[in-house]
Amino acid sequence: MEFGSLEFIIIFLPVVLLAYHFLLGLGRAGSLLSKLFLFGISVWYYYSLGGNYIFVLVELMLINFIVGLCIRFIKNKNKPVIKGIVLWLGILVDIGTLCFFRIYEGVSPVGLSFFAFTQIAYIIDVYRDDTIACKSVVSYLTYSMMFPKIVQGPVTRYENFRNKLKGRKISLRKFDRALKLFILGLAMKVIVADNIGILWNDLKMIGYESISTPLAWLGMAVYSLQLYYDFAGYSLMAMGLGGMMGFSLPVNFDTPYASSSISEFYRRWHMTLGQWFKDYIYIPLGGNRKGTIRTVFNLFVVWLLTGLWHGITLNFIIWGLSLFFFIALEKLFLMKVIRKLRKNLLTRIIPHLYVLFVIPLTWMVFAISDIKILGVYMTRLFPFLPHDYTSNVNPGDFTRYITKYGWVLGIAVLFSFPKVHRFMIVLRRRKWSFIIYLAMLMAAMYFVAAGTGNGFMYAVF
Amino acid sequence: MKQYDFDRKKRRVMTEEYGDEYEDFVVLDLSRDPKEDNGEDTEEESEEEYGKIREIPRPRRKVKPGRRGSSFSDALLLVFVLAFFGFLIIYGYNLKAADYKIPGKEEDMSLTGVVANAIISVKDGIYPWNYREIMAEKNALYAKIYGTAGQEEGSRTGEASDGEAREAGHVYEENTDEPVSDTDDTGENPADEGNGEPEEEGPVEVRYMRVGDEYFEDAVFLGDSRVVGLALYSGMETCTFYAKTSLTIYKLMDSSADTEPITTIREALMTNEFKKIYIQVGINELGTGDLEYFITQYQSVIDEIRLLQPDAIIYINSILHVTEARDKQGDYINNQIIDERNEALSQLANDVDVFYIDVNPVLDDDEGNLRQDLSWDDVHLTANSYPMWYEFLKDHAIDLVAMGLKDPSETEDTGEPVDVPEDSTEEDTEDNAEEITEDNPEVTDDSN
Repeated sequence: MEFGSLEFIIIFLPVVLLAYHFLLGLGRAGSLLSKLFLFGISVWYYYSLGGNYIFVLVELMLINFIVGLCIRFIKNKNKPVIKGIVLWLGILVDIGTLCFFRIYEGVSPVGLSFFAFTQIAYIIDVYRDDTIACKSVVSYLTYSMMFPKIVQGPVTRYENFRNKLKGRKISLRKFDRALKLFILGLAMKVIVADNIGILWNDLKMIGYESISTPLAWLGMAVYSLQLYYDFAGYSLMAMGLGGMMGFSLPVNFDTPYASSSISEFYRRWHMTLGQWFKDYIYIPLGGNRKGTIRTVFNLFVVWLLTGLWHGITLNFIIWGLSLFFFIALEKLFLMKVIRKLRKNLLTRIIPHLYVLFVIPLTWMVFAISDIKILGVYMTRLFPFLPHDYTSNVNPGDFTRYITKYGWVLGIAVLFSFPKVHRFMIVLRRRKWSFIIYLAMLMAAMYFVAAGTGNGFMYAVF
Repeated sequence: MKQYDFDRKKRRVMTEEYGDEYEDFVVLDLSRDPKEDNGEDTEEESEEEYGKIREIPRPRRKVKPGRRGSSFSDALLLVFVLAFFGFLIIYGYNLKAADYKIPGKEEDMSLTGVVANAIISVKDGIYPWNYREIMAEKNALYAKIYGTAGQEEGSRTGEASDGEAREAGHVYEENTDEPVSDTDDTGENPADEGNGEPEEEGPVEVRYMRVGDEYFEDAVFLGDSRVVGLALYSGMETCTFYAKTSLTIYKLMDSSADTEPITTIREALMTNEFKKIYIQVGINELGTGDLEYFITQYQSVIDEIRLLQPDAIIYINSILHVTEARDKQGDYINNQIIDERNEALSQLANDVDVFYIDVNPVLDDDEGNLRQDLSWDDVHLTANSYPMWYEFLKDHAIDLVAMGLKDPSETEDTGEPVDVPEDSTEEDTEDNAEEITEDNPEVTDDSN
């Protein structure tokens, strides 16, 4: 029962929101009751998606909660060594669980990666005095498990929730804005991502050795757009859901395809993950303050780990390291070139083209885990590369797909522009915009009902 | 300085810049504006990492902050959304209640199923303002077909095809004494025999011949996404294809095609003449309706095609298997069900003008699953694999002359008989008493 399903939209959401707001309105007990309810319903929600793994998550949560309290308690007694040990024990448990499932089990509990990182962020923040440890189990459980973010993030910081957990007031206006955000996210996922996803699935079905070169490039563009709209759509939905219940979830995407450097791209793509790596790995290692060699090394560690976070197969490692390569290059000298190019009106577009060329290529490494098959795809993109398979290409395939999916692609490209995206965000406040959002919802529900049924792509991480 | 102090400042700045729509937007990394990745200083770059608020350039036009507090207009969307949901639910149940009833085929639908059905019906042109008329029509139609509620449709399948065979006036010779065994020596996998068994007569041996591309010039192939793939990748240039992704037998006649610009298949079959009609559907119907319903509908499609194309022979293609990986998933798409349905489909053949051919042995592994190396998504063939299907079709053209169903002068289709190594396609052979042992040197003189 994921966000983009009829059950969720028509049954789960109205019922849950109604009950939640009813409980919230019950005077002074409202905050506690609504939290309990939210926690309970989130557990049930997770159970429907991830089954018995819920126990793993709850255990992890409780351990981190206790660690947080311990650190706070120890802090009062001022024993830094023990504090550090407790912290590291907590981190080890979190990382260990993550690694255990990744490496030994092969099947990972849904959302574990996001969950574990949220927990680690919490205990480190408590340790570093960036937040105050949570004293209420109910609050902490609610924070950790809440269903808007349990499946695919965003990776949150407890500090953003601390006050809200104490008490929430949701005005009708805030609710309305959040609802519109949810609809926007739903439309992105269901109307754009799922439909262009069909094209990508078709390519796989045909067999990459039998797609024409133009179609290979189209497929690459399509996958890149699909990944964005799927994940960004989900993130907006999460924000909307959280907002409808009084919580502020952080932004995860900032129209990344408008970036002019790879470094910038990863400040705008899956922002909460990038910030997690920055705050908890990169800067503790020294960031860029310890000289060039150390900076490059720190970047290497960050990107190797980022690749591994997505998966332990070889292609993810290659993916992470290829990004490291470009970002290091930019850090060393490429960024200066880009800045110069940006200043001139004629050459301003070059850095953008650079990003739009490199990033989709890296997505291919990300998308295809079998190296040999990846190689086949590369030879389709660049047919001058040597290859020795038989192809059975249908010469009209590119034309066929462009006519069939041109409309979705057009929408996808259009809404990748920051100005257009921003327009939709700001549109929410206009009185009559509800018509547009209602129409979007209806269109989205048509596609949900017709059900291509692609699950969320990032839910495997 | 706590980094979350930046949060509040940034929020204020974003609000000023973009309007209060962003006041709830939490941005964690506030030390730099990603776009303004410092145009000027290169040496002092390191300062950015650690949290100085950067000057965000003022926009040219400031968006006015909205009014505080909620108002009536903020409730509009919520109200309309709830009204929309309520309407969907009520309409959905009404639609289901009015839906054409197939006796014995009542399905239980959950709330979401009801709503989904209501939404999807729009594709078929059913809207809240016209559904009553459409449903009344369909109900009348089904009352005619199925009689009163509760009657089973069971034995229609065999009788109808026989009746039509007689109607069409085909000469039906009983070659039951022929010592013909139908083993196919041309490939590794023996061809399926397609032994249709019409009730009254004895078993008929189907005779195949190997043909070339020209055989398909007056052929049409109807089907689902697998046939779309066949159209695109098999090399069957001469054949006509009316195929559409996700096609089912239930919607076949009314469906358009992905492969040709036709309005509906029914219309296309009314305006064009074909001598051979191939059909391959079945995978998309596995989830809806049970075996009997599927077969009944398939039969009625055959009946209708027979009326539209009286001179054509119909090839029912078996439903292609799925790979072992897909088979093992344990849901309603598995090879056991597919085999059940194929078995039932083979019964629809009368071996006079409706035949059943099974390509699965050519494409399967030893366990009866589709070979994994022939499919990437476990359901469809790869582009490279479709030519195998074409080869199979070329090897399994029905030799109507050899079966005595057609006079040699009535047909231009000729081909190599599939079982006999020597060529015996002289036109004067009416009763081709070909013995089928592999090397029988006396065969050539057996013509009369």
